Order: sequence, then structure tokens, then C-alpha cells
Amino acid sequence: MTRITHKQAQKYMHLNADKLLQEGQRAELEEHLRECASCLALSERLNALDHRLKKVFHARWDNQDGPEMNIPATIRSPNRRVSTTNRFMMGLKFLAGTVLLLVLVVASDTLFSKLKTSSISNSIATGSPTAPITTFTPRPQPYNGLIAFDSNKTGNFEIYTMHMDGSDETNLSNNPGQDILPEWSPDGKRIAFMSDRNGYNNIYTMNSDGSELSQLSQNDDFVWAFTWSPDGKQIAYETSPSQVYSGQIGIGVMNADGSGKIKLTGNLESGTFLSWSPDSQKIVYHAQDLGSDQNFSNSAIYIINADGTNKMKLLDADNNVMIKWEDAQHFYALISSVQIYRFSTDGTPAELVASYEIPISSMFGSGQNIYYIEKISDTWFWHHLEGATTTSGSIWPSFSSKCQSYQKDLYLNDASNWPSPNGEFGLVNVSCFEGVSLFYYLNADGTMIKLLFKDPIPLYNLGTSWSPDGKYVTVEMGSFETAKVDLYFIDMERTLLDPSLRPIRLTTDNARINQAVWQPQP
Amino acid sequence: MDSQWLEQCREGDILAIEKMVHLYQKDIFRLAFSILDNYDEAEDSTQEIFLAALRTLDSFRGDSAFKTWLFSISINVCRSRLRRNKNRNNVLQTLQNLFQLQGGNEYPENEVIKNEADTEIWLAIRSLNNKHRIPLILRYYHDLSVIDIAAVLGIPPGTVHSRLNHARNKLHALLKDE
Repeated sequence: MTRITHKQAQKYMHLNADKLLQEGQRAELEEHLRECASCLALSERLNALDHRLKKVFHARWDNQDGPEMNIPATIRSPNRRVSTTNRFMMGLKFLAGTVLLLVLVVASDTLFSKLKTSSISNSIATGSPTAPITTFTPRPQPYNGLIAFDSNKTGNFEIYTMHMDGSDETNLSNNPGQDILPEWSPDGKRIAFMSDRNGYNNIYTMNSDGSELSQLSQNDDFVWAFTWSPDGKQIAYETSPSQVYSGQIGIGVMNADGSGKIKLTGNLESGTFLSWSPDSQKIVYHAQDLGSDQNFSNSAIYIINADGTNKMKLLDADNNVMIKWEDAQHFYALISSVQIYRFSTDGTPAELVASYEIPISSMFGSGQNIYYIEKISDTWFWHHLEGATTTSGSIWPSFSSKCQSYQKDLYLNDASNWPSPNGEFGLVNVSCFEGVSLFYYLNADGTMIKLLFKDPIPLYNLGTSWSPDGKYVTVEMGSFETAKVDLYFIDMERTLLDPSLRPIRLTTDNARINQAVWQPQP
Repeated sequence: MDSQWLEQCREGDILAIEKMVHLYQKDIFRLAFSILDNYDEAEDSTQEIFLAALRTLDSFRGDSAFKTWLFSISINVCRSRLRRNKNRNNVLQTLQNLFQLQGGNEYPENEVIKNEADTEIWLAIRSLNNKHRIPLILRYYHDLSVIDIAAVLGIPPGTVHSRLNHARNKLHALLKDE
């Protein structure tokens, strides 16, 4: 019995015709063709068609070398015009650039006087990075929020906070249990975290100074994960029927003080929390039915009101779903890495926006700036999602040859931490096998990529977090040999101006840092 | 095509332009001919393509192969000619209907393919619309990869692959039925 179906075999035949078949797939196809006479016949007919197409095309056009005309002579005169036009345009561009520069000088002079009392210049957060950054100004009001993280520097994991210059490091949890995974409430006032301090994983919250500790879940909730609602009023969480993971996961919602618990999934369902709607009114999740034979079936995406009402099945889909919200009423789901659907929260039928046979590498962004990247062989294709349509954007062809100028192959890591808070820019980290990291700053639409530090960083990056204003980044970097990870700080604006700068090390504890997250600005 | 040549072309250096034209003239003519299926149209288009390329040489950033970039321009020029032809053919068709004229052969090269063994498949290819025919020609005649076709046509590679699938399935069905 072969591992692939007849339909898959036909798909593989077409992939093979376009030289897109991978080695593993080829082996599966060949195995299938050995055992399926009808598919073998179809394959032979397709091969014959390929041969005939090439033959008829070459017979038709190979002896056509084109006219005996002298095209260079024909275009000479127009070309002089072209050349003159080009020079004229260059001159015009130079003139326009000069005028623009003068305007900028006058404008920035006015701006400087205003900035003395205003907030930080947002030239990085909102300006085009392809334009030269000529209006860098000192920061009159640096971001003064905290960075929360967990660390095992005392021998067990605790929740800490510090300022972005590394000052005022404070152990907030201070308990012999494992206190991990800090998450700021959206208003930046409370920190939720997981702790096994009483022998069971539970969700706790506390103020940003560690005061007013509160246990939200109970021991028999067997909590596995949690997520704040965007308005901070509720917390969605995943639970297990027992302390030992059984493969079945339930999804629940509780108020931010632990009251009003509602279970969203049934006893015979296993769910995966996917996303809160931006207005905190709905939850999107994936669920499948658990049969009496302990096998799962009826795998689908659901939406439900946060109060547990109005559950709607949106689409049958495998449990491999990534969600990005366009607005409070619409979201995109990348399903099984090959299809992108646009959903409405009112349950109207989903629209298929894009469908591929080759897996899509990444989907990222939010609102009107949602992109996905299709990576085939050595080329990267950027696509912008616009309503129910997709438009093709940047193309990075022959990417490895482009990377030769960076001296390393470019493998773009997990895209979830790429985008800056406004979704327009991204920080991409490339970890190389030699144990070094390279950082690239890019436009989310793929129109620009820039190496941030001229020399590679001799550590692995394990986590990236942006400050709420999109000006700073923390990265958790360490060495796999020592299993020690420290927190580093990058000032994006200054680093873009001076590639000789290096990330600033904030912790020096010879410990393991996890999940550094910036305090949202109240 | 190295960057120095391109720079010389941008500056209007006739020798550099001649070199470029000489290098790509045959490829571009064959591409135009394979899409337009008309010798005279292809001849005119070849000039038009090189002129368009010289006008827009500044927009070539070296991110893709120069030939891919040139092919993209060629496809655009050919497409706009096809659109014009379609309009012209619509007018001719209307006139023929009005005056019951015996129109000329829409495809003069039919005279050529009468003697070809692959008339059957040729006619099947003709029945495809441009959306499916052009990727097929780029794939099977110009031997471009799916990725290069995507770059030339400005569409995702997945779309190129699915259009090729469609074209092959349709040809398969047409040839099977006959």
C-alpha cells in the first residue's frame, strides 16, 4: 500500500513537470507508480505531452532568428533622445533633491524647537527606512517602561523587571517554585505569569512592583497556557483533564481577577487557542472531536463569543493554523501553510484568498499591513493581503547570491517577532551554524533589507521583543554550549546610523533568561 | 550583462547598446514571435521592446537577471499588442458580419503548419487563452523555470504552477477527445 493517494500522485506528476518535486516526494511518487497502473499510464501521457509540446514549439520557432534589420541603427536616434532624457531626469532629480534638502533643513529647524517638550521623534517608526535618516535627534523623553523576564539566576526561575538601561533589576516573584512566562496586561499595570509554587501549574497576576499577588486558576484547572484579551479584562487559557498531558486540551476564559470561568470546549473536544479578536469580543480556536477510540475527527476552526455563546464552525481545517486580524470583523488564517482564507466573524463563508502547493514560509503583520512570503528554491516572493485579494510585491530572486555579500546564507527565523509594533518594519535574525547571529532590518513589504551590525554577533538569538514605540529591541542571546542566555538591548535608530555599534548586554548573571517583554505604555 | 555595460547603456553609449541588442535580439524576437504568433508583429515588437528597455533601464536594480527583466518588458509589450489586436479583430469581425465579407486568414501561419505533423497539438495550444498559453510557452519553449516565469509575469510561482497545470490538463483532454 503506497503512502500517497491517487490525487496526490497526480499533483506530484505536475510538480515534477515543473521541476518542483522534492526528493522525498519523488520517492513516494515512484513507489505509487510501481503499484498503480492507471497512474503510471497517466504519468506516461503527461511525459509524452511534455515531449510533444517542446517538439512543436521548437519546430515552429527555432528557425526564426528574426529580421535582418539592424535594430541598433534603428534605435540610435531615439536612443539619443532617451539618453538626453535620462540626463535631464537626473538633473531634475538632483534639483528636486536639493530643494527637498533645503525644505528639510528649514522644517527640521522648526521641529527641533518643538521637540524640546514633545515626545520622541518617530522617524524610525513611521518614516521610510529607504530614505536617509538625517533628522536624528537626542531623545528628550526616553521610554521609561520596564522590561519583564524570567531568569534562573537564583537557582530557580523568578520573574524580574528592569529598565531598558539595565538599572533597577528587581525580583518580583521571589518564591522557591518555578515562576515563568511573564505577560504584561495590555494597560501595563499587571503582570500575569505561571507558577508551580503549590505543586500545580497556575496563573497568577501581580502589580508591576510585585505587590497584590493573586492566584487566578485553581489546581484542578491543570493550566497549560494563557493569553490576555486585548482589553485586559479577561484571560483565555488552555487546560488539560489531568496534571499529565493526555493529548486532550480544553479552552477556557476567566475574568482578569480569576472569577467567571467559562469552558468553551466540550468534554469530547480537544482545542487549541488561536486568537482573541481585537475588540476582545470573540475567540477563534481550533477543535477536533475525541472519539471513543481516542482518535480525533472533525477537525475545524471555530469562533465563539468570549461569554461562551454563539459558537460557530467556520471551516474544516487541520490543526495547523496561524491567524492575523485585518480588523475586528475580519481575519486571515494560514492553514496547513498552503492556503490563506479570509474569514468574517459573522460566520459568512470564508473566502479562499491564496492557495499553493508549496508551503508558504511566513505570514506576519496586522491590520492593513499583512504580508506573507512564498519561498521557492532560492527566491522569495512577498505578497500583500488586501481584503479578499492578494497583490504581489517584492521579489528577492537568487537570494543566496545576494547573501554572498553578507557572507552567510540567509535563513529567516520565526517571523512571529519580526514586525515592529506598527507592523511596517521587521527585525530578522539569522542564526548560523557557526554559532553566530546576524540581524537585518527590513521593510515589512520586502522593499528594503539592511544589515544592522557590520560584524556578526557570536551568539544565538533565542527571542526578540520590541518596545511599544518601535524604537528599541531586546534580544535573548546565548550559547548552546553553556545553556546560558543573557538579555541584550538594541537601539534601532542609533544602530542604523552607526553599523559599528554592538548590542548592549543588560544581564551578566551567567543564567538562563526567558521571555523578555516590554511594558505597554499606559 | 555586467554592471559596467549597463551603466554605459544608461549613459547612451551606442557601442554598449549595440552589444546588448546583439546579445538578446534573437531571444527577444523569438519570445515576441512565440507570444504574438505573427512575424511582422514580432519584428515591430522587438524594436519596441528594446526602446522600452532603454527608457526604463534606470529601474533595473540588478535584483533579477537582466534577461528576466528584459523578458518582463517583452511580455508587457506583447500583451499590450495582443490587447490592441483583440480590439482590432473585434472591429474586423463586426465589419465582416455586417457586410458578409470573406475575411482573410486570421492566422497566416496556418499555411505553414498545414504541413507539420503536430497540427493537432498546435491547434489545441491555440485554443488556450493567453493566461495559460504564455506560461506554457515560457516553460516549454524558452525553458524558463517556474520561478523565472513568476518573475517575468509578476505573479506568484504557485499561480504559474496552477496555470501550467490547467494548460496541461486542458491539452490532455483536448488531445484525448480527438
